[in-house]
Amino acid sequence: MKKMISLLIVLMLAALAGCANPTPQKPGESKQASGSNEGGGDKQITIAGNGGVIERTVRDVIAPKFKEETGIQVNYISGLSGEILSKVELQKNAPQIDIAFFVPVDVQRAMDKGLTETIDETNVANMKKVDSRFVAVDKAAAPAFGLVIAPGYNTETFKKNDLKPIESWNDLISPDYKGKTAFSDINNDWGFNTLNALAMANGGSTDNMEPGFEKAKELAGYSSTFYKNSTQMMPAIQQGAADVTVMGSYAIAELAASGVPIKMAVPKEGVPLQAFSAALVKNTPREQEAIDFINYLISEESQKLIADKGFYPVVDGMKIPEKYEGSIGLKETDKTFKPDFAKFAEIRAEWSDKWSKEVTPELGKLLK
Amino acid sequence: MEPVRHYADQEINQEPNTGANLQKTPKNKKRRSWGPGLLLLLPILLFIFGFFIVPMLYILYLSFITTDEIGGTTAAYSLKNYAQFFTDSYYLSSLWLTVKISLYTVILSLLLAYPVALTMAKSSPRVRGYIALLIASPLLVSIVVRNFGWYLLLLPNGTINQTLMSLGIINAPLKLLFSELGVVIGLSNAYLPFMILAIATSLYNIDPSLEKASAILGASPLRSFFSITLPLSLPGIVSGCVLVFSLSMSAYVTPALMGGANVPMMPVVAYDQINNLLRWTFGSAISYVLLATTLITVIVFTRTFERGKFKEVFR
Repeated sequence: MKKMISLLIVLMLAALAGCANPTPQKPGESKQASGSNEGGGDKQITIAGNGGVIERTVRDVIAPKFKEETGIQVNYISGLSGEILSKVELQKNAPQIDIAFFVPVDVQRAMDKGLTETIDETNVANMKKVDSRFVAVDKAAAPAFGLVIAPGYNTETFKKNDLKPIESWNDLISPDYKGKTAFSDINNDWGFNTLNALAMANGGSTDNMEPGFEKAKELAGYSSTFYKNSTQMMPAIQQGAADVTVMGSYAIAELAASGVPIKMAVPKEGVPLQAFSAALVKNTPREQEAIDFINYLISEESQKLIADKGFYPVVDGMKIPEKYEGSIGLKETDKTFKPDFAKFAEIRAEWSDKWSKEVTPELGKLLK
Repeated sequence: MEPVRHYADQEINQEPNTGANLQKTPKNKKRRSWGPGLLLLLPILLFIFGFFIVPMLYILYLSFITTDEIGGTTAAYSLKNYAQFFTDSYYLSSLWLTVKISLYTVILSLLLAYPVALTMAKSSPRVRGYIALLIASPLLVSIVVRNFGWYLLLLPNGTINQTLMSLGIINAPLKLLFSELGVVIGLSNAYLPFMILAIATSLYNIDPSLEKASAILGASPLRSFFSITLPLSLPGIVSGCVLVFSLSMSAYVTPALMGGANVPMMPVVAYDQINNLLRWTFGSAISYVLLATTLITVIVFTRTFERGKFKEVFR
């Protein structure tokens, strides 16, 4: 009996020891340790990124072409940007993920935590062709899937009910929508950008969010909820449960392509231009393969394929396909801006706490 | 006359009964009964150690760290995360909300489950099998898919509201979604099979002759139910309640999908802290407060029944 207990204790201690931070793996050790190149010399890389249209684009379109050209197999793990950042942080000494697709604020947070390698023209040649407006943080990641976060509205409902067009971020706050809105909670990038835009529309800024925060309370009053999960917002629009929303332009494009009468609105204060960006995970044993993929991802050839799925191409001079012009097309006169993502990363937790305690309790209070 | 029982160890031990081996016998008996049992348990013990206890210990360790650095030499240890939780009314109200919704879920599940379990107990084995299959069938569908189904049904313009409005029962849509009611409906739907099966198992074990005896003695069916069936099914009720309560306390998908931001239950708050705000240490503390609350509630509840008026049925 004593022997059995001793054995169990030893096993438990061994398991606990296994929980400690793993030993870092050096880039040169990839062949021996990663297991990716074993038996037959098949090269593989692992990408973690958003599910949905981004996953489908990479898995079905980009990755097969990349394999054809380089022989490198791409594995894709889907998840939300924040979740991926958590995983990358936990695996920082022995990364299993080679490339992480982050929203801009997580590009900043990952860089601040020292989890990513530098990406610039010296190691990724195609970076020189990239439109700098899409670069979230200098030398931190390669922008790959361009978008704006903007209001969207059901064109048929607006026409039928003779509703005023959305010309300002403040127009989102209206009893006319009767609670048929789909706004994201602050934990999502769409929600935080909405707060920032409301601040800008009311004399504030990213440094002074208070005016936007007060407006957000009114927005909550006229909303039945803020969605914890952004994947629920698209069904809400499709089912006719919401006529007004704020979401990524690619989601609006996807809805429009599926037959929903939805169109993006560009308020006079402007819409934040950004991109899901590909970050090279620090200490990855498959660094060169990962760099090759990032370079391929931002090539004109790939960006054409990405634009075909409803994203703005990040390469200078390229445009979205004509089929998306009606739903998410940006005119010359439309104002866009690049948010201060470093500041976003700095203040996000503080404003998220404040939002949960002061804005969320206002939900639905102004609805009759 | 009692039959003579021969134990395996007695058969092996053929030595004369000296004082020395009389002292050894109980010890040997104990060793022989533990060894094989422990070996059989070893795989599951290792599994629990590796995939439950070790991660839980790591989370416990994280919950005492108060710096951004979650490991290594720069980590600072204190009770700050727990102090922050217990001094902030937002987190305390989230804890209360979680307990409240879990209790409502238990009550609703119990009310819905008992008649079904009773029907199963009274049915032939064949019918019982069909009912069990029917009850367990929702478990074959992913909880995310089930919640999306409920989500579409409970929308303001969803099937339930449309039907009630077309029948003239209500004038305006009921707020079934993004409310405590919606979460309770979703959780009850998800965990009802556990309650039914726990109660049904208990009901199967009741000797049918007890009810017959009760009827012969002149008790009405209602009196028989309250004096015999219900008390004897208490172990199943308690097991079902403990299962449903524990599962509801730790549910994430249903509160997030059906409650939105309006129903910030503890697992959702912990998830936000860890995955969205990257506050691993505070999120870990929240997880442990949730675990402790669940354990205390379950222990108090179980002990109350085990030592109460009907303690005999728990033996």
